[in-house]
Amino acid sequence: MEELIGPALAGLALVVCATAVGIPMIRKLVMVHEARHELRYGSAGFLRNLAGWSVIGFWLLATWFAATIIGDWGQTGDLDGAIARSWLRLQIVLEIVAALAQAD
Amino acid sequence: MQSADVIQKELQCSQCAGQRVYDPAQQCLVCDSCGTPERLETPDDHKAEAEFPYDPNAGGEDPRTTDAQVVHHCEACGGDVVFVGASLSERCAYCDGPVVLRQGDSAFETMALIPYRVTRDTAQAAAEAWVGKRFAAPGDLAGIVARARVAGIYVPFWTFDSDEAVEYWASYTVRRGKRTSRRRTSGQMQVSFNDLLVPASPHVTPLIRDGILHEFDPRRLRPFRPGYIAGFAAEQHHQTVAEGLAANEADKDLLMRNKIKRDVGKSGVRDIRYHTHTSGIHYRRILLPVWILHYTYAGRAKKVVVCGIDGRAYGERPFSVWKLAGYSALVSAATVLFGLAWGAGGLL
Repeated sequence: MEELIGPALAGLALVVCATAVGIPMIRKLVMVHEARHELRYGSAGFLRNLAGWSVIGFWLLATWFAATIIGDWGQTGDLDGAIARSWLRLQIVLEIVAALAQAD
Repeated sequence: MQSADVIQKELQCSQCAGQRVYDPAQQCLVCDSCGTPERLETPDDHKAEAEFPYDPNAGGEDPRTTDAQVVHHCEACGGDVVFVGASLSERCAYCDGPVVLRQGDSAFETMALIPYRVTRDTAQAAAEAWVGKRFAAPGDLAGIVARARVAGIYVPFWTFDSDEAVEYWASYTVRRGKRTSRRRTSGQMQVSFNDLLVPASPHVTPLIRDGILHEFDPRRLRPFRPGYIAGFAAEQHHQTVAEGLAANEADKDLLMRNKIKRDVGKSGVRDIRYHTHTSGIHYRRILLPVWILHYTYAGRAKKVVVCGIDGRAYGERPFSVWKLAGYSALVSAATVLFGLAWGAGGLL
């Protein structure tokens, strides 16, 4: 049971950090939602308000990626091994981030 | 603007000599005393749709007219509004600041306007409903807004038409397996802008325009007559055509870049440069009706604007940091749980 204290605390810290970082992201999410539903489609205001939406994806992907390492660590008890096993996942995450940035 | 005598005659009831104001519900002038309605339509109303050519190389602007009307000048935001007939308010319709009176104003003649179709009560309800639907808004916002009242004002706008012959250069992303590279491209295209609405007042932002004016039907334009603005405030046109075109440059540039992206049709289009030859510029100087609701939240002045034509609302709103944090915590917790399960499951 003691070996789970580290991953549990790390998971809790991750939730707190992601929450703090996520406040402007949720604000952006609301603005994007309002722009999509209330601004004239294709207008200058519409384009300006939608610009930068990809930061929401970056935030979620970064949070998810960090959580997968903690989940692996909690399951195996091997933090170094969990980090080593995350490299392939990191590459896929970076591919998605690049695709989001290009689509923004 | 017409002389005060002509205006006064138009606003006087033919039955009882009472004062008349424009009633959006009935779409006509209505006497305050006896309720007699009078329609303002004329057989020549369709002429209000007319657009006027502008050649930026020819120079020359319409002459300004200086009339003897009393102008209400806001000391807070600098807004200048006029009232036809009796003054309706000693507060600024744009920012609710105090106004001072001054004589005469040099302005350009308004060519046409679209009369109010939305009543004050409907506009008030639309503004409150818009605020009520905001995500992550402070809990006390709806109550604060409900205590505020809408004010009607005709806002000066431009409509611009133009034909653009565009030559552009850009780069885009190409993927080959795991490798990505940038490629350059160039092209030409023809773009026509039709009835681009541009605020001719610093008090209405392009964002608010895009929120409340989704459709513009020039067939609704009517020739300017003082009777249409009786009962409302109106801001006069002070910009030259060149100034109006300059005010539209940033929006036009953004729209042009978006059209170039679509014309390239590839992913990751960046480094856009373009040159455009503009021709066929036509414009109108018009007034559009809006209802503005002012409120103050946490010491900051904000406004909700309702279109006087179709009742569409948009505006400025505050956020509740605690609600944003709550939503953020929920999304973060769900994402972390998903990631923990993914990692614990030994997936990829």
